[in-house]
Amino acid sequence: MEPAIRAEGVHKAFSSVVAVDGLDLRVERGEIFGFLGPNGAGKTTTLRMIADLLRPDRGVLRVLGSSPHDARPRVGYLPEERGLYRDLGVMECLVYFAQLRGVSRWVAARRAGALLERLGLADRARAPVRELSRGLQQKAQIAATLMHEPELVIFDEPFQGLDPVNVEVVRRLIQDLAGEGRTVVVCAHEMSLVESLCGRLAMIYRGRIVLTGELTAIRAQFSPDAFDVLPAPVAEHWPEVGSVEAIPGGSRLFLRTGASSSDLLRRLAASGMSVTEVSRVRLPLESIFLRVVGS
Amino acid sequence: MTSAALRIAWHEYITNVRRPAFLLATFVLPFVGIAVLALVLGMAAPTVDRWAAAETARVGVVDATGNLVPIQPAYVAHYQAFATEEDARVALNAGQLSGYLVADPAFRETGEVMAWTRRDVRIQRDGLSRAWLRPFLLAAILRGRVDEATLAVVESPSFGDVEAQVLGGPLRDDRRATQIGVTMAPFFVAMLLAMTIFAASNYLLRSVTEEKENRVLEMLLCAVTPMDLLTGKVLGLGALSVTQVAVWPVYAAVPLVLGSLAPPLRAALDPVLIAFSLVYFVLGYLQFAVLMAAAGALGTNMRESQQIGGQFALFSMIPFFLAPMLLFDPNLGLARFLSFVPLFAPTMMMMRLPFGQVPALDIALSLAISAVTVPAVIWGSARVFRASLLVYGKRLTVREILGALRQA
Repeated sequence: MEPAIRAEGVHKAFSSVVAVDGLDLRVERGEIFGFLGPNGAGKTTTLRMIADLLRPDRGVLRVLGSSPHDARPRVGYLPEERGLYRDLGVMECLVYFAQLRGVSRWVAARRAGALLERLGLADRARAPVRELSRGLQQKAQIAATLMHEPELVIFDEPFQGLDPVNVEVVRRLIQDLAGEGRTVVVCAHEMSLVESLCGRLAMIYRGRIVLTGELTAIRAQFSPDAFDVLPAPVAEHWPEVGSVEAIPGGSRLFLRTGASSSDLLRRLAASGMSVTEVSRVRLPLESIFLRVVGS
Repeated sequence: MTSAALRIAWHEYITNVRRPAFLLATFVLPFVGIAVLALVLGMAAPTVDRWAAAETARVGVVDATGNLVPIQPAYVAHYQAFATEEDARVALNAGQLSGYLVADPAFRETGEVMAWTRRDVRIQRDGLSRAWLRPFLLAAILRGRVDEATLAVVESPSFGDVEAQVLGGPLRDDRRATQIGVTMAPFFVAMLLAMTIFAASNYLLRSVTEEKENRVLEMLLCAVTPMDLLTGKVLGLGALSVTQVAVWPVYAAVPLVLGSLAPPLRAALDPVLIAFSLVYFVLGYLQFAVLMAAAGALGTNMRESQQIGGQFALFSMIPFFLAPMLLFDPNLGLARFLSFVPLFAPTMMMMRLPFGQVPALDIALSLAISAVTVPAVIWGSARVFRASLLVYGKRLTVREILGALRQA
């Protein structure tokens, strides 16, 4: 089976501005994939090409084993620039969007009811969209994206404007979607949420993929060979330790080249000190992002 | 046509048919139109029946030639002889006359007289118009020179009237009865239809701009193609306009009840004229609607979109400026030329047809040109529409628009 998204050498320019420059990307079916990048990196252009809103100038782009155009009915896209008909009721709006996708009115109404229930909006089903707060409108838009039960769901900034409670509601929904076998692409600036959701990710910068792979592998690749030890040992002269940094309540020990974590643990045991916590240092995704973009 | 396009058409129709602006235009505007029509016909009435209008007129005559005085029995009701100008002036100032004529000895050769009146006198109403005085003066000149039968013909109120007939069939029977009303009423109907094209196109501009401003467009485009969206909007809002136009005949009942407006109304409801007008209406609407949709997509907000759309509207108003000239010659050179120019052709023809006999060649050629223009405009506008929809905060440059048009 072909992957959910396969892009090879995809290029897109607007006049003289190159938005996507030879992009290669692979998203497997059923995974939650993080798609990150700074503003103006080409994220939205890439997502719009996948959703068949834009056509690539050149390159190969396959979505769910078909061209983006043919895959369109099986793709749900929550764009960054989004809105609903302000004067329509929430339910009416969702049903209309589903009907545009070919879903019958009756089925659409049933699905809308279930989705609003799941997103905690059931009591506002009849309210005009304009009466909803920004966060609630955001949830209604997420529901509109899912009304036709797409196989591939693309969320561009799904957590924008949500309070922590609703962030959790949407985070669980995304996990549930993946649990149902759907592929989810999440594009968000909230790195901690991406970390908690995605198994794999890609980082785009100036139209090119500059980093891609398993999240754990990426973190391992960027994380230093170091351990946080609480409380702080006197380790400056240990042969396994190259340097020491103070951290709250302890020390960060950077291993010398050639030394292993076993060597350090043996040394700690031999020192006779009472160690309460030893953990490998993992750089947060945000730091990796900044490092990649900064470089 | 896809089901999505039909769904959008229905949504646009239902949403807009409930808007106050639509209800106002549909149920209030026709009343205003009928009021204007009645006003125009009312103002036209004096010239329509110039004889009846001057029934109460009384004109003094000071004659130094012996041609006008004594006043012939047929004219004594409206003309009165005076020995001197001074006497006539006193009667005029006393309000006994609407004016007086002075004929000097050269009258027999030149036929010219001098007329005096007061500021408050209305020339048409009070019997001082050239048309009203003419039989009296003509009879005076001819009396004794021609026989009485010839004189009677010349003095007849209908002398000189021209009733045009056309090969292949007569003009409308009631033409003479309410000449101006009959000519103008179909023109008003055509003008209303032509204006409806722009009103309906403006609905489209507003609809696209609102959806762009509310950021609904991108959500919609995830579900449907730009062509479906454009087709649905053009159909839905076109149907809205047809609803509006379809309501108007209901108002025909009002002037039909008012007897004096019935002949012009019957003329306006000439089925052939209506059929042609509707064909041109559809062709015109399709052209301007997609142009306005593109204008709506090009603008970054309502103000900017309306500025762009306004330029199209101003451009397309040119045929309306020719209306006064069309009254005298519907086959005016410039009007004929514009009838063959894409975009102008439908409105120009809608305005020419009510004024008289337009050559069949003009109708056939303008229809053919408009029929070819429609797909060309849709083709170009759809590309600009597609290219502009996802651009926020900035307007496409001319180069980008040309690029969109070149894109296959």
